[in-house]
Amino acid sequence: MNKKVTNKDIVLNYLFLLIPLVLFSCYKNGYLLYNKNLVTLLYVFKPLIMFVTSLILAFLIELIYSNIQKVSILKTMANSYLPLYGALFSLIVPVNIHPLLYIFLLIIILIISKLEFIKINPLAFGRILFIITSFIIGTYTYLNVYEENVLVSYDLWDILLGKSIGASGATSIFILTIIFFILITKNYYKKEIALSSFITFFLLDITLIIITKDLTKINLLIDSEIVFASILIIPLLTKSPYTKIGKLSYGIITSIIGFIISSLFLPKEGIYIACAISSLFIKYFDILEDKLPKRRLKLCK
Amino acid sequence: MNKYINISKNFLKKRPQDITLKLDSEFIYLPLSTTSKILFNPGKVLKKETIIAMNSTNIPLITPVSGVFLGIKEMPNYENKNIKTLVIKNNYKEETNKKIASKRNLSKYSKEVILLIIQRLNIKTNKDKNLFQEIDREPKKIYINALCDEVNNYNNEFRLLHNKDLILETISALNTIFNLEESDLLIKDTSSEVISVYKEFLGSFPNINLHLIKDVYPISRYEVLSKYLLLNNKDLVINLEDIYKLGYALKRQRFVTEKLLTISGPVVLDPHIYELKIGTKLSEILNINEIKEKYDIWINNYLEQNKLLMDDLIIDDNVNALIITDKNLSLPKPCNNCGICYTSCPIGLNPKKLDQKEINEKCLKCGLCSYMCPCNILIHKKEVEIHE
Ligand code: SF4
Ligand code: SF4
Repeated sequence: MNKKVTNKDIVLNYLFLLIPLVLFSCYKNGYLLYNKNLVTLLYVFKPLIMFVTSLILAFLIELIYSNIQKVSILKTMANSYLPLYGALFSLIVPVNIHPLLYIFLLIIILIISKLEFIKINPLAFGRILFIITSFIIGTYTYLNVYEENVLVSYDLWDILLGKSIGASGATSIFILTIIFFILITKNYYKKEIALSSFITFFLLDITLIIITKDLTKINLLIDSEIVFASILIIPLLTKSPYTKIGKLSYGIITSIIGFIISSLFLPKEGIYIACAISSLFIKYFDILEDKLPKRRLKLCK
Repeated sequence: MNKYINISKNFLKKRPQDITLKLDSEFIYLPLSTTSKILFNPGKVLKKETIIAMNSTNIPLITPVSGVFLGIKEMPNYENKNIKTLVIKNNYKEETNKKIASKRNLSKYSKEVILLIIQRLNIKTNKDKNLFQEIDREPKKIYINALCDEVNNYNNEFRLLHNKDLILETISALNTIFNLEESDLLIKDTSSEVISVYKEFLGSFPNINLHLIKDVYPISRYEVLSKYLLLNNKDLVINLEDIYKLGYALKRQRFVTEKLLTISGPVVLDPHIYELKIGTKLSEILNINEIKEKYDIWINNYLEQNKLLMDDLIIDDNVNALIITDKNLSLPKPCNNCGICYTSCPIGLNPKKLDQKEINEKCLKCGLCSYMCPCNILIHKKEVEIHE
């Protein structure tokens, strides 16, 4: 049964759901490395520190905003999605990102999401910024310290359980699947986008495998980045279409663009780049539904 | 079931103790339809239950008290619009021309007489269709809608408890006279007292079923109910209050001149159900100004957000409850495109498109979209522009 939710409920629900991903990241990118004496004890908690930092920065930006606007910070925070954007951002960058680069990028995406006239999905945009900046400074990698030092080869079980290469919180397909099943019970979750984008990606990948007869192409699909983006980034509540047709077409088109970029150039980034592009046209995806008004209204009779 | 919303959890429920009679209004204001013809001149002393006006479809307007007909006055109605009313000054004599009568067995009425009374009472079915036309087309089944959307509105519950015999007898008579196999009495599954009382008595009425319905909003609207029960055109839904009016007219051979009004809400510590003369002015029973200073008063239903603006509201057939809540001081935020309003609409409309005529015409004005909006936008009222 659905019940009324406030913006605060939505953000808090999401934040609670993200905690297992943060803890898993502490385990996979911290504890396991600490056991091999590769990192310090503080490094074990780096994903958690990044997560908390994002929440503090979100609060500070809202504090500055409420001071400028002369409104109560409590009211501003009660309706703010910045903590959610910040927390998600902490999970889509690699754990070995330079702390100053992380804070710099975080501030930029938080400011961008505060500016209502900028329609781009702030997280997809943040990821693109990360790619560009880390390419410029020559640190572009998703490998953690261990993965950087040894030649790793993960099997399917490793990938499903989360021991794969990827951004800080985006490696465990298992936890992500549980999060997805919790989210689809919520009336605020745009499940149509998540499903349509993942299914489209799946079908395209199967088609590619059949055409090329190259089974390794399955890696494109079982990459946890695709799952993470499909579940949490593309259906981002406030930065995606809201009509039924809009949601479905948004998921499908984002996936098609994402698949093309992933299979041709950047396997881990394609879906984010596609999401950034299609989020610029959210309004037009929603307008698509107006093309079928008569049919819809008949259903309502 | 996922589509429907249970709002009762978010509201404090406090039940009135009993019906309070408040039948001594000094003035009565009877809303006059534009096509009505007034049958008397001002100054005339009228007895109770006199036909004072008749509209173009021969629906009579009945005086609920005896007294002097003073003339026409504009008064605010449930939509906060001023409408023409006929004013009667009560002489408290309750004089009537009608003899006190009571018909023993309602099933003995002929079909023609019942149809005539249904027409006179202007009873509707299946959203604004005339019952006297529809019931003559051999309906398969009738459903008595005793559901009440508003969490704090107890009219139907008290009507069911206080007039049980009359209600059951009337439904049973309709079954017999119109050759219906059975009828369903639709009751909210949360009305435990009503359920236990009716379960006990329905043994004597084998052709009436007690049909429990989930307490979700806005299930009592025909559009939602018919989808929920998968009704077809041959099924008729009749409101409980209309069954009561019909039963009263058949049993006593006179018109109902009183109505129930719930005054309740989350901030009301002592909720009441009043039985009032139809046409009573609200200020005769409530000190509106004092309440309005501190609280908001909503006509019929909090979710519809039809706020009481004028103190002289006339309690006519369209006013069933007044819900008093704390003043809502939270301002609407810009729309964040979350789409919750759209996924919540019980009939699948896009509330953000309510400015389109064909969508607006279908809207039930139930207010669920606005209630569910996390940004507090009154979408169904279109008071706030939706900034995307
Ligand atoms: S659009 Fe109309 S019918 Fe739908 S929820 Fe809003 S008020 Fe109710
Ligand atoms: S009007 Fe309210 S519920 Fe509807 S999309 Fe906007 S914020 Fe969401």
